[in-house]
Parts: sequence; C-alpha cells; structure tokens
Amino acid sequence: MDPIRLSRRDMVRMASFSLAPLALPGWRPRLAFAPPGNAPIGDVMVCVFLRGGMDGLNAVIPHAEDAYYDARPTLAIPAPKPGDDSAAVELTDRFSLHPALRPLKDPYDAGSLAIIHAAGSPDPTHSHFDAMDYMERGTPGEKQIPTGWIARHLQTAAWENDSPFRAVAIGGVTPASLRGPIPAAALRSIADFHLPGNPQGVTLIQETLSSLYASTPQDPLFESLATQSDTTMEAMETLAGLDAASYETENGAVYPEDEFGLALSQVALLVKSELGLEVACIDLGGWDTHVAQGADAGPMPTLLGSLAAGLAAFDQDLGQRMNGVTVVVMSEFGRRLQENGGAGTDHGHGNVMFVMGGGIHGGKVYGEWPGLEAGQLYGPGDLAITTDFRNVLAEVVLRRLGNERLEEIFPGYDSFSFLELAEERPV
Amino acid sequence: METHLTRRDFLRLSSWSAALAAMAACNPLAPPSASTDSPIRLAAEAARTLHLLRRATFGPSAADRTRAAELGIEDWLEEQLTPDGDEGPAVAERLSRLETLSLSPSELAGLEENGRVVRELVTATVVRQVYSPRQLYEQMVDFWSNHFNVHIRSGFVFLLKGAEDQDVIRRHALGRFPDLLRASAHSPAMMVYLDNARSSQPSPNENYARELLELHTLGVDGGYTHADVEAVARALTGWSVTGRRDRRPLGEFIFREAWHEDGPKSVLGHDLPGGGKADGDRLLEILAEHPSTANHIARKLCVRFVADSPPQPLVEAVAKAYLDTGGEIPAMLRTIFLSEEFSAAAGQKLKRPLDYFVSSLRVLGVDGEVARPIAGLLELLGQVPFHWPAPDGYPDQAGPWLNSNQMLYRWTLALMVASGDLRGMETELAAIADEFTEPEALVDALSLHLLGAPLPADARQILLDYAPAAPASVQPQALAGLILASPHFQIR
Repeated sequence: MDPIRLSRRDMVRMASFSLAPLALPGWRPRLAFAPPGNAPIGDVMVCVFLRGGMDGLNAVIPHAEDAYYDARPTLAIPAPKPGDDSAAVELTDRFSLHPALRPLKDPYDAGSLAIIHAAGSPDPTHSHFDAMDYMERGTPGEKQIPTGWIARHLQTAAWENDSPFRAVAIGGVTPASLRGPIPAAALRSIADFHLPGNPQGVTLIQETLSSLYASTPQDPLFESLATQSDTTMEAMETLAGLDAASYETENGAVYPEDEFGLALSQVALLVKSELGLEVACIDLGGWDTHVAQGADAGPMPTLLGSLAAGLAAFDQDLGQRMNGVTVVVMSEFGRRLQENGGAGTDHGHGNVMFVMGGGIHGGKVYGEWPGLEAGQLYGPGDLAITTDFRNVLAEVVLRRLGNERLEEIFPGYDSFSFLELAEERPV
Repeated sequence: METHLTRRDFLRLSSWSAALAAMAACNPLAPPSASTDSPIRLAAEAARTLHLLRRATFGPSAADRTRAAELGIEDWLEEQLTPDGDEGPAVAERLSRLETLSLSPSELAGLEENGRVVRELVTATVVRQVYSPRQLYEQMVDFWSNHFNVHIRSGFVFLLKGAEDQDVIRRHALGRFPDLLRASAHSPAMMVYLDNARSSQPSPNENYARELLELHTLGVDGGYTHADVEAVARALTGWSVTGRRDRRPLGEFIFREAWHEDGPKSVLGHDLPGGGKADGDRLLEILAEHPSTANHIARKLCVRFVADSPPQPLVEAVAKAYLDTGGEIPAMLRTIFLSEEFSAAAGQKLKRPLDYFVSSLRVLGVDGEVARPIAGLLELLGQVPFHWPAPDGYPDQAGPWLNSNQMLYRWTLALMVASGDLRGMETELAAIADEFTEPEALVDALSLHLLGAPLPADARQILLDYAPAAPASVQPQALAGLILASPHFQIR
C-alpha cells in the first residue's frame, strides 16, 4: 500500500465540506436497489428539525391579534404595510411572514407551501430533550418504544429497498427519528465520503475491513457495528459513482453558503441521482432564544433567513422533481407569548409547521387558531395546540409516501384527523 | 454551484489542530512487567484490569497497564481517585506553550487576537486526556464538562470557559457534588450560557432554572413542576456576571440586589428565606440533598462507565453512596468500579468519538508533533470538547454515534496511521517493528500493544492474509491501522 498523501488541500476539502473533485475507483454504483414490481412508491420526504424551540409566533405572525403586540413590546413584528420592508409579509388577513422568511412567499403563492399554525406535540413538557424525544419517536409522553417514527415508517413500508441511502441524516449524529432496525446513513459531505489512499490499496483495505467486521462474535454491539460497516461500505461504493464536482443547480437556484444550504444541496444531489433515497433528515439548531432574540435583526431573524433561503433554493433547484418530494419542517415546541425581561422568550407549547412539495395544497395557513387572549393560552402563557403534529405527519406518510400502517408508525394514537393538505399521490 | 463553509469556519477548525500539532515531548515505551502468580488467576486478573483500564482511562497506554499490574486493581483505583497535583512532564511541557491558559477573562478580553483562546483550551484538554497519568480524573473532568455543558461558541462564553474549567470543573471533579453544583451556579460561563446573567425581576428568565432542575440535579422525571421552575427562576434573579459598566474586573460573578425578586417562594415543598442571595444558596442545598439528584447523578455515572442501560440495582447502590456521603464523587466511583455489575459489563460500551480519537493516540504512544490532518479529524468525528451546542452535553450512549459518518472518519484516522505517513509524528510502532518481523509475531505483538489482548483467531487470520499485500516498509503501520479500524478497537 502506498503512503497516503493527504494534502492540506484535501484537509481543506474535508473540513469545509465543499463539493470537490474525487477520484473514481473501479466500481460502479448499483442503481437498481429494489426488486422489480416492489419499488418504493412514494415521495422522497425531507424532514427539517429546528432544534431549540423555534418561536413560531415571530415566524408566522398573528398580526390581527392585539395580545401579540401587547405581550411583545420589543420583539413584535409590525403588521403588513405596503412598501414597508421591515413589516411582516402578508399571507392572509390574519397571518403574515417574518420579513426574513420572504423567500418562502414564492412557494406559498405558487401553492406548494402549506403552513400549519398552533401545531405541535400535546405533551405538556417544556424540556427540550423530552419534547424532541417525544416528537422524534412519534409518541408524546411515552419513552418506552425505542425506535423513531421514520424508522418505523421504513420498517412497515410495503416495499423493499436495499439502497444504503434509503434513509440519510446529513451531519454527524443520527437523529432519534431514524433510530431503528433499518440502518440510516449519516454523512457530512458526499464528495468526501471515501477513504484516503490510492484506489487499489483502499479496495484491499475495504475488503479486509469487511471481513473483520463480518467475523465478530455474536454480540449486539458487534452486530450493530457490522451493520454500520456494511452500510458505510455500500455508501462509499455508491457515492463513488457520483460526480459531485460537476453538480450544478438548476433553474438558477443559489443555496445559501451555510451548513443548512450545503445540507439541502446534498439532498438535492441524492434525489436527482436516483439512488433510492426515501427519507432525508436535516437539523438546523440555535432556536433557543431566551435572550435578545432580535425582532427584525439578530440571532432569530438570521436563522429564519437561512431557513427560508435554503428551502426556497431547494424548491427552485428541484423544479418539476418537487412533484415527488415533500419537505416537512418542525420544532420541539414554540415559545411563550410574553417576552421576558431579556428581550427573549422562554419555552412554550404550540408552534408553526411547514410542509412543502408539489403534492401539497399550499398557499394556505391551516389549523384552527386558538387565540392569544387570557383564557385562550395554554399553561404558563403559551400558544395552545389545535393540530397534533402526528396528524400532519400521518397525512404525509399516507398520501405522499404511500404507507398505510399509521397505527404502527404512531402507536397509541387513535385520533387521526387530516387537514387535507396533501394530495393523494397517484400510484 | 459554490457551496462551502467560509474560510473563517475552516480556520476555526484547523487552528486548534495547529496548536495540538505544536506539542512535543517524550513518552517512552514502557516494558511489560513480569509477575509470578498462577497463570489462571493471572489471566482473570489481567482481564479485570484491562476492563477497568478501558473504562476508567481514555484508553490504556502501555504505562497504564504496567502501573495497574504493579499495584493491583484496588490500589490502582485508589491512586486514580486521589491523584496528586502532578500532571507529569509530558503534560506540563506541552501546556507551557499555551499562553492564554493562565489569563483571566478580563485579560483575555484585552487580547488583540483572541482566536487562539478556544483552540488553546481545547488543545490543553486533549493534551491532558492523552498524556496525563491522572486518567480517571480527566475522565471525570470530561464527564462534568458535559454534565454542566457550556457551549464555548456561545457569545462571549469563550472568554469565561477557561476560568470555569479551572475553578469549577477541575477543582471539584473528584470532590463533592454539592460543592461542584454550587461552583457551577456561581460560574460566569454558565450564567452567560444559560442566560441567567440577564435574569431580573419582574420577568425572570427560565433557561438556567429549568436546566438546573432537569439536567444538573433532579432529572427530567425527578418530580418537579412548572411552578417549581418559575420559583427557581425567581430565586436566582440577580445571579449575574460583571460587565463593562461594573466597577469590577470583567467576567466575574456578581449578585445584583436590585434585580432580585424578594417575594416569598416555595420550591419542592420548601419555603425559601425570601431575601437576597440566600434564596439561591438555600435552593442549591435543597437540590443537592434531594434523592432525585442522587439518583440522576448515579444513573449518568453508570451510563458513562458501565452500560447504556445500566442495571437498576447498581444505580440504586451508587445513589445510596451519594446520599450516605453527602455527594462524595469518589465514593460513587468506588461503588461502580468494584461492583459485580461493572465486572459483567466488559465490552458493552461503544467508544464515543473522543474516546476513539484519544485512545488511538494513547495506544500508539504518539510523540512529537501530532499532525494537523489527524488533529482535524476530531472535528469531523464530531466531538471537539466544549463544542456541543445544547445544554445536555455530548451523547454518552451508542445510538447517536453508531452511523456511517462515524465509521468513515474512524477508518480514515486508522488508515492515516496505516499509511505510515504521520507527518513527522512518532509512535511506538517502530520499536515493535524492530523486535517482531515475522507476520504472526508482529500481528500478535500489535494486538497486545493496541488492544491489550490478543485478537480472536479469525480476525488474526484475516490480518495475516492481508499482511503480504502491505509494502514491507509500512507493514507494521498497515497492520496497526487495521487493528485500530477493526470492530475490536471501537468498544471499551
């Protein structure tokens, strides 16, 4: 084996996650992942999780509510006003977008972006970690079921798909929603998903490693490692066939130059490459805005800008392919109506969700609005929840992904009630 | 399409690597010690010792194994639980080059170039994990740094974290939990990170109050209500940090009387005195004495050192040790490491990325300059100290880490070792290669040196089948790299 020469440029590439040239080894990807006649039938689902508790009341602003303006003396966004760019962007006579979310106005107007307000998980917890856990397991108030809701969707789907990219998490950590018997790939960068060294040497090393991982004693941890080893080998083999360097966005789409934009562009590449992707998970963190969250400028508006620019670029890049893609955006809870003494907001309850795709009846703010007056609020002064997040996800799973086994995906839930925001996908 | 992180992001990534790369000192290959006991007892004792070393250290080096064999399990554990103040020349020499370590927050704030503050603190942390003989102490520093997680990239926390590392975490890592808790609650880094520094009456900030109950003491199911969270937030109003307008050095704890809400408060059924800083002081005592706190800390320690789902009787025994001793941390650790449940749990924990990274450097006996590309892999593996953004600290269980990204970068690190091109970094492999030249003997010697135990027969045969394909000049490195990449080095 030749010495590996990992140049400084290589490290810059690895470290900056850029889409850079890669050497093609001697294999070709297997492009047929599913047995004929039993291929996945549904959309690719992209789940964006906003970690930290996104302040939905300052993202989709209830501008008709005096209580909103009374409770947020420094944080409230002015009601829509023609010609005023710092005012909210009107959607309906009741709701408007934060100005930093303006890029989402296009997919909303085009009818592919649906907004659900006062949505969320009914469990009353104000703990980030419990709330995220409940949402990702799909079982509010229940921690006994060890798998995630997306993992159970994959497990119960009526089709087969042995692609290593059936489910992908962009990043270094597997989210709880994907934990389960179907291995999900985690990756930071498609271009860098290969081992250093010359192709012949690496091939031999990979064969040796595969043997080592296959030879382990019977033991749950060793078996999990062997599964991950297989997935990683297959992923390397498959991605080696992708020329990530020559990937160009379509329709003039420009992704924001941040981690979220890069993550979405990688998902777009996976979708276009038809590698058998069914589900992709992306995290966008930083929403725990207890102090100085910013009204029109500051930490939260910056995050909103990143979110909107990324989603709009993804929508534009995929163009007609969005007819087979559904994006779901959620967060563990919303934030208290009343701003605190530090010009921030504490943990709340109800929140906003976004669903975007060609099969979505967009251009509408869904959900029953519970109001913000005293007596209408939940717990310590939070937006109430009128739409259980499971109803939104279940409708997407059934109508867009084509999986009917909702009782297994959301065990213990028996109040499925759809908002009619998704069109039944033609088989 | 041009999509990439900014140059600034890359510099941030590579810069601490550079500081780590600037380390150099000696770490001699320690010879295995001889003993004269019966072979069977010796083998059992060796297995127990290896299991303890794998859990209580960042990966047993040859020197650790020698020391533990000399002292025996109980005495080695006692030595680790009561370390003296000497970090040894390998650490001291390396730390002496990190100039910002000894500066106060206000001195750090006055630096013209403060980009090296974070990288030097991270470097110091990894240096100590790799080279300190006080391994269990460093494990506990890491444990408490995650238990009381403070994200160093959160605002100006980076100016305060070094002081916290010294005055809170390192001072109390093997002391009493109530002292540690009290120090953390007076820590400017924590007060800023969880926003208590800005919490004042009449609308207090709940962030620190909630995490104090949920993460630091009682645990999420520890039996508190939202009313308790609100009362705790009110009790802690005014616990803050000096800023530029205070006539005191920047970044120190300050109690702001005028911000404090003096009304009556009840927390977990206890009435607080209703006045001034005594509210918060009493609150911390109530929390530290609460059985839920004992249980929460006990469970987390057992997850760290025993198993992802630890046996309940052991958790209860450790919680009892907490309550019996008023929260003595060594008493809890003794209970864990000398338990039957611990002995029965060998090989059941996946190494976290940091464990993998540090243990690789330790078993290789890395000396000289740690090559920058290798140091940069810790970022790609995803566990640079103090860089987890949420207050719960890096995950301590396998689930989040058992994925392809992790395999890719673990293998990458191992293959860089295998290439023999470590950019001037020296390892103990050369000495092994000099002594053992036949493939069988070489594989066996490497297995013992890197894993502390022989490889299973089939894995050994796979390496022997591979051996002829490796160029003779780097054959020992190639085999060592494969051992580090193998499943047997992923567990602890």
